[in-house]
Amino acid sequence: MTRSAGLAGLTLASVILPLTLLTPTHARACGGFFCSQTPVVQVGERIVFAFEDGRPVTYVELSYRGTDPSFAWVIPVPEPPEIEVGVGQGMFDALDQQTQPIILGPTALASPASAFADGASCGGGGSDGPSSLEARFVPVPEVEVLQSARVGPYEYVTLDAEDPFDLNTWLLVNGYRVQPGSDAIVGAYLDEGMKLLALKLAPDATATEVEPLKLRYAESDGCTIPIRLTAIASTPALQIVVWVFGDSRAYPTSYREVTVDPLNLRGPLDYGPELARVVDEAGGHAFVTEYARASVFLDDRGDPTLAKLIAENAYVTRLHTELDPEEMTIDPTFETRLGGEDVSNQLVAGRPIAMGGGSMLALLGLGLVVARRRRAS
Amino acid sequence: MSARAATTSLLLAAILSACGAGSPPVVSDLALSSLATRAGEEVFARFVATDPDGDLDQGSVIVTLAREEGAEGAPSRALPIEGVEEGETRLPLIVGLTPPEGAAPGDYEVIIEVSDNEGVTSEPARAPLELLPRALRARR
Repeated sequence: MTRSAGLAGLTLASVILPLTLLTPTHARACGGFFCSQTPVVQVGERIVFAFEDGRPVTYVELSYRGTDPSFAWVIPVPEPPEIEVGVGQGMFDALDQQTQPIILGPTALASPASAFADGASCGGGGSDGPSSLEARFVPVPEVEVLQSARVGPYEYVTLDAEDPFDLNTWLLVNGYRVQPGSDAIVGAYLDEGMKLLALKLAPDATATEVEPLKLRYAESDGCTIPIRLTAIASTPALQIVVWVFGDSRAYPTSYREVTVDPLNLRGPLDYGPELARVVDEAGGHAFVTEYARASVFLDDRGDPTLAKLIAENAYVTRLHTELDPEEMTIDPTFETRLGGEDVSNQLVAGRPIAMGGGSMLALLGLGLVVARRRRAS
Repeated sequence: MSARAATTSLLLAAILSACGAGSPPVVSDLALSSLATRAGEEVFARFVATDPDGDLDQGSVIVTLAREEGAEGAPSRALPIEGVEEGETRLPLIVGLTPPEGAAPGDYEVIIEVSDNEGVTSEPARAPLELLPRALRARR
């Protein structure tokens, strides 16, 4: 595996299921949400693909809104990964601050609002249940448990199965939340040779937010975001921001690359809607490259994880898209290519501020008042 | 028949009779999918039923949800065990149970017992389960 061939075999799918949270929390994690009560939905994710010590690694952070007494994070993976938790939070913030679009324009010198706005808390309603104890046998599922361990506050397993129903049943009876309707999507990933990584909060652990994950694989053959499973419990306009560290600039391969024309911006607040518009025009399967530059220009801000990525990867690319659940039909993939041009995150808004009719009348009235005073004097 | 032979026969008959009455099944490795749930929400109990006599087929699993202070009067269901191979002595089982509507929040126990086809019942296996209050419905 050579780095010049692009980042090898990093595959990430994120389906997150809300964890055991008793208070509304703006948590950060990645994946599709499977929860016991709706609505608890994923609203965004931030992902870093990179090389560390010569091996592909992925950092994942999700944002969601809602609360739920139990949730699990389900991720299709190419192989059982090595997992760390609680790493990369500072890295994500430092990267975001230095690479997010900066709109320079007549209205304000400010960056667009964060794609990861706080969400309102939601709760679910109970359903009318039976009036007596209901009980039933559940067939014992045929599932291969490839790994089972604990890391930090989480218990996790990596599973393989012939039948996605068996796999989901195993998750359900072992305390991982499963969203109805996910069988088909899970089955598609199993057919592609993927395994399923599932994490949940350990019974004796408490957490106020879902921590970022670091996944490291032995080998891989591309950067992929398994987004199809995320469709099950995602809000419209899911924000996905990806940083790809490598030898050169990264490009989307299964998605198109589109651009935000600064001439269409009046100021920072126009950026989000304009990004959504250009992505929609491409059928929803497109990324905007917001930043691409040699990684030496990044400041690690004292974060050791980011410092290591900068030291071991010559270039960094930031890509951003916004997806609705019905658009999550193709997994985004990326590759690096030599010879790409740098992309600045600074955009000069070029659209003139249009004055509405009220403003014109007010100005006209002001002009008349000024003219009368001058005549009077 | 000599007295000695008669005694031996009686002793042998007693031993065989004791075996024929059946050893009770045993429930082990009971684990719940969740430590807490709500009325109307299903939780799963995984366990292993063993019976040295191999007579689990046509037996039953009795599931009870009891307040910690006692199982008397607690809601219970019996599920028939069917389709077990003859002579099978170890059976992994999964039961989904749904606490009844109206069950008060608090600390409960899930009690699992297994009876073989001769009606011999195991000792109960217990696992704690907290019933949470119903969640508020979200405003839209």
